[in-house]
Amino acid sequence: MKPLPLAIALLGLFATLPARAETPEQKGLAIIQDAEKRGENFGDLSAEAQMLIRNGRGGEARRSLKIALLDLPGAASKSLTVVEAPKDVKGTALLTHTAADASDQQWIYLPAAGRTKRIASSGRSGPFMGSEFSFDDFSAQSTERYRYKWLRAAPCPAPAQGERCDLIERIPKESGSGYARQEIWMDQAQRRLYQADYYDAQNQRIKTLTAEGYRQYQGRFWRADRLLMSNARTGASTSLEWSDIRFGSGLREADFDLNRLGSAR
Amino acid sequence: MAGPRLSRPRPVPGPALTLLLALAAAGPAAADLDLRLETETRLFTAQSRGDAAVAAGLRASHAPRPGEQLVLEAFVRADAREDARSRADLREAYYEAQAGLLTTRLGARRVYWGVAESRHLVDTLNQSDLADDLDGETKLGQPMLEFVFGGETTALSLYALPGFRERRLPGPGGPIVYPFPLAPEETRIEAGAGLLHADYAARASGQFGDLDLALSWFDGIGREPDILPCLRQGSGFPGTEDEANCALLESVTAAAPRRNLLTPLLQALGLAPSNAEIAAELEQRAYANLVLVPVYQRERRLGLEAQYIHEALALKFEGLVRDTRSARSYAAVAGFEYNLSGLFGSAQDLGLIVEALRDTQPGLLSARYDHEVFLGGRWSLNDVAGSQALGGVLIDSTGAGQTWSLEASRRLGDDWKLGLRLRAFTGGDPSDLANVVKDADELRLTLERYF
Repeated sequence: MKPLPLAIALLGLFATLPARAETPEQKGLAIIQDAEKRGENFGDLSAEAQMLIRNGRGGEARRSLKIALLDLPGAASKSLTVVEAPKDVKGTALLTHTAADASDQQWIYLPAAGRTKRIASSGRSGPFMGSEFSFDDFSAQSTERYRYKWLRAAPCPAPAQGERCDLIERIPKESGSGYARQEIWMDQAQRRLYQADYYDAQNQRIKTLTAEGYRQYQGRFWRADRLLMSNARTGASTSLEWSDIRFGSGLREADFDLNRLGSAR
Repeated sequence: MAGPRLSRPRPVPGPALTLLLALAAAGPAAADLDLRLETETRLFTAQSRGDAAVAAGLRASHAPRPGEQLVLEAFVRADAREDARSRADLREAYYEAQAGLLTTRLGARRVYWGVAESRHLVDTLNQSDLADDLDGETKLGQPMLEFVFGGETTALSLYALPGFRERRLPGPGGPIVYPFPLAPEETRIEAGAGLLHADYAARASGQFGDLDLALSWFDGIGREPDILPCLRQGSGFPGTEDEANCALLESVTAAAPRRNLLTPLLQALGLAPSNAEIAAELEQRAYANLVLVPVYQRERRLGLEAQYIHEALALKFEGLVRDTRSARSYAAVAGFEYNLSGLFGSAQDLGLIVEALRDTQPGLLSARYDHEVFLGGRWSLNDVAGSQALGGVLIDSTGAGQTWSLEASRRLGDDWKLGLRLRAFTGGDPSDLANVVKDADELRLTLERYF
């Protein structure tokens, strides 16, 4: 079974998402697999991101990131995120290797100390740089890590008004992801993720991700320009705006080697 | 030991100028420039005095072609009271080229090895700046030629390290009150070939599932000096005509007046000073002429780093075998860090750190690590300000005292950063002359502005 570098997976950059089957579980999975197929083989991608973090009490902070992705055969992929701002942590780099069997590893390079640290998988649900996004959001997430269930077809949420969406439930197979389940909205025409609601074990909504400003690249790949992650409990939110999205800039696998992490900035 | 003496450290390694010119030629538009200004206040609480300093750090980088990079990192500080800290340093100044699996770097660099928290045992290549901070985490740039053959997560690094930089020690006005004056001008370095001298090192690292392993080798001048009490040059004691004499006992004994058959008789008649008087006079003269001399020995070291991560638990090990001309010694740090994430339902993380340290190397300075236990914690608030704190206590199980430390920082807005460091030494023998840190307690506040 192929992993899904899905919408929230890498904040929407990795790919988007389709369908017909018997049980709701099969139908859900089939849609996800269709979405994955459409996003396959994009080669490499580089982009810049501006994050605006609002703490819900009037405070704001900005983050500036550079991201590079490499699509590899099967579930495999590599990603590199380098911090540009705030300046005191400029050069901090987050490297993720996802293997063909969908297992992944993550490292962070801390320039002030010149140290590279491996991030335990249990530590990846934590916030990335004080934002509402987690370290996990910066890795490709594979289909195999979740169970799926098609819930219903419905009109799409606000940013895709007028279109038809499928509502699919996605449940992490392993605990430690920081939430019990997600409900994701994908439009039926192009399998693009428009919204994801995160629920805790008490079925309380904890976070909502929305994506808007979808544009098609290379006549094939859909990417959203803006993402918004809102925390339902604290009122905090983080918006992420992509710019300078470029496909096929000739990144090689060696650019993602662990020993070159310190040279990334 | 009286090896050839090297000249004073050269703070600007050769390639730096070339780099500066290259960066200047690249123009500010093409180069990536980062500036940091810092103010620092230090209070030596056990000595009821303090110090203040201002510092600036500049980092410039430029990529002349894809796969190539020029990097320059300079630091300058003006310190009100401690002259040893008022200086400029090129911490990094190097050229890097990537081609296929090979990365080549030429110039002054800082390279970090290791996994442990309480002691950076296997970290070898760079000299420490203890004048900057007694924790030794501030490193001086080391001139080097580095070849790295890298795989996905593996690497083989080879180093040629020309030039040797002496450890920067706190000077007068700093936290340490030395029992005798420090004589850096008398520094001794055991080395082979003077100016042509180069050290060599290699390191192989790889990942095997959840296990990270690295094996390193070094042959060169040990970065950690022993600090020996010696008789000052020109003090009149035998062997001090040209340099300080560190063979204390022999020199002082030889300085005693010659005895002959008549000596006991003369002493009995009070016509010659008694043995006790001679000894007291000699002792007084010796004390008045003692200085502390840093002595560096050539060493070969083999280091092993291992880290095994299972869920929230990271097991860590660093081990070292050192061979010097006089002795072989072993040292190790072993422990774990257990991470409690999402503390009390918040976004905060707390890492609990426990490490045990052993070191068989004799010497004044390594005694801090001969038989210790470290208990500590790393607290990350994961907030917008990036607030974090790392604190702990290093406990000597042979009763030589405890070292307490706390480092905390947070951003103020996007461009300012506030830092706090606290260090305290408790429980050591205050009458032990080697216990130079007994009054070195320090509270440090820094405010940085990033541009």
